[in-house]
Amino acid sequence: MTDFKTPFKDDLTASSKKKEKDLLKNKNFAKFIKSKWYPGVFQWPVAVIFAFIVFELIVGPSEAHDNFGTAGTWVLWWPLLPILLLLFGRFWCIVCPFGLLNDVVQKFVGNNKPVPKFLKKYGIWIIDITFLMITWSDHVWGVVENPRGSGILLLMITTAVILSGVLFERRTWCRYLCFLGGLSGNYSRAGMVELRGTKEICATCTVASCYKGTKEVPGCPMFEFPKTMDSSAECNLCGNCVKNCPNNSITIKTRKPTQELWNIKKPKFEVAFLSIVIMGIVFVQNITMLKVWDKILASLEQALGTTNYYITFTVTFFIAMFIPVALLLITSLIAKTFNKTSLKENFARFGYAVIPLDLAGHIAHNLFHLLAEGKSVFYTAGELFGLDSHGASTALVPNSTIQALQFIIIGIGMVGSIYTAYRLAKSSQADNTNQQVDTQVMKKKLFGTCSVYAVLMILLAILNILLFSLPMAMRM
Amino acid sequence: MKPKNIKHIVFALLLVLSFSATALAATTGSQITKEVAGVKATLTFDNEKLKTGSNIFSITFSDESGNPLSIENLQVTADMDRSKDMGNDGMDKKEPMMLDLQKSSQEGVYTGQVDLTNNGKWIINASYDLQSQPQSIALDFDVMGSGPNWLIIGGFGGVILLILVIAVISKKSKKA
Repeated sequence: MTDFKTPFKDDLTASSKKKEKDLLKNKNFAKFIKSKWYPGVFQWPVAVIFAFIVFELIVGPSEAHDNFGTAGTWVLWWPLLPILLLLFGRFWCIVCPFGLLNDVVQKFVGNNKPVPKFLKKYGIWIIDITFLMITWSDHVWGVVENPRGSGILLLMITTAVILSGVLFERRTWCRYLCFLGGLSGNYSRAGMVELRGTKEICATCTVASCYKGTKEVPGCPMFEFPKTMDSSAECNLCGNCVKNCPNNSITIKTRKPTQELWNIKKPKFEVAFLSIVIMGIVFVQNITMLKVWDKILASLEQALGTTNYYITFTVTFFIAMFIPVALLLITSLIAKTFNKTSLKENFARFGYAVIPLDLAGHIAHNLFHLLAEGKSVFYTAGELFGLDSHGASTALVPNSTIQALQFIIIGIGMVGSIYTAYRLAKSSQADNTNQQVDTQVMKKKLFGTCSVYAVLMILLAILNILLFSLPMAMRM
Repeated sequence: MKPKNIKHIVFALLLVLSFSATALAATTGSQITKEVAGVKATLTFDNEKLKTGSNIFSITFSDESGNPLSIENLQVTADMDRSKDMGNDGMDKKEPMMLDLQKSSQEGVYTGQVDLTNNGKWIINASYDLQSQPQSIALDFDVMGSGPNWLIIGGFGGVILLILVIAVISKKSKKA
């Protein structure tokens, strides 16, 4: 794990801080969060739906277009997830049925072992690798388009969650092992909600019940300490700290999208790596769903001299992953000439700037499935009650509308990424500015650093737009 | 529970999970080969066990010694075996499905997709011209129903049960 401990200046203006509104100041909201009903009121209904979806996937219709589980998972939940993460941070993680399963198993048969050191040290790398492996296996074995495959994936996760809940304390699974947790953490950094402790109040606190818990309510399940928390990446808004804090120090505020990314104090290489690899995953998802994919595959078969899909796809997969990583490396190398910072540090810091574009690419890609196949959720639900809707269009809006929305979202993501790169460059220069270095030179450096990353973001956005402009295949 | 035991359980689970995933997903593909008048046709499906639904396949034409053959006017149909009673599933009233095949970059290899709507015996019939002589080869194969795989579901159920039982014993022994 690489931490870069260069001090940065908090460049949020006082006016922007004033605009952040503490939602817990609303009595009804605070009462709800502190009540015994939260978060159970969300968790249990979702758990019931999830159980039914797993049942449908493993014993329901074997064809994806007839299966409510497939529609519910890949046409509804998966496209909505990045939108939820943008709006509410990792709130989904407290609603997630796997987290609830972990809690229930732990309550009755948990051994509450401390988290092994290797998980703490390499957890994010395990997440990165698992995420890549699942994406690879989905394409090679068709997990998404095969209800049984999706069902088995969920059963595998269920088994692993139960094992984690049985062995380890709190939500070790969610924090250190869940591949979606890694993705959710990254996107939540760009999210619009943040939970924090009030520094002045926490400074005088000696009980730390937010972390340790009380007799009534356990401590933070995600191993976070609100007193020192400066990121929403690991906060699932479970409300335990709100319930436990005797000093009412906790605040839940809305913030501008991407705001957290503007002041990354300790950039981590592995987080930056995940963010740029997600861009590669979005490329793979797009390329393999394009109608031109068959032609690309045929050319690849000719070049490699084999029709084995395992080989041809693996090659495609590595190329798609390599391109964004290589682009960020090259950009960081060029940026080095301006900001005189090491390649590794530039990669780690400005990798965070890719997150808004990642999020936009993810939302834009899945928007197609949500809007072009959205009705399949109703149709497959209808089929559970014997209503036949075969042959009916599954589209909620015309393709041209979806495409326009995709372009707009990518455009917004690109602007978000460029602005984040600018703020990151600016905040990392703050230290030097304090040393009264020639401001003209500093401005030149800032402009140079920003420009190279802006070019990268524009290039990645163009690649996305090119892919979205081609006809795409459906999931159902 | 000792750390050593935890390590063993994690290792065992990883093995079980990886093998169960492999059992589910990684199949080696199935092949049916038939030889008629010096032409060997090999039908290869992506899946080892053919199930109802859409299946990708390839047909390879070669001579007796395995050299690829160049054929012309290839037409391929798929149909269920009509020699047996197919009950009330309506397949006996349907015409054979005409399949759209694409020539691969490799000589004598054609790829396509077939929607195997019912379980039972199916026949893929390939008609073609070889040296201007019309010929045909029929390749038959069995298609399984695509219901739930209780073996795998039971396997996961068993592993989960085992984990919970060990956890309960471990917790009780700790209390004692």
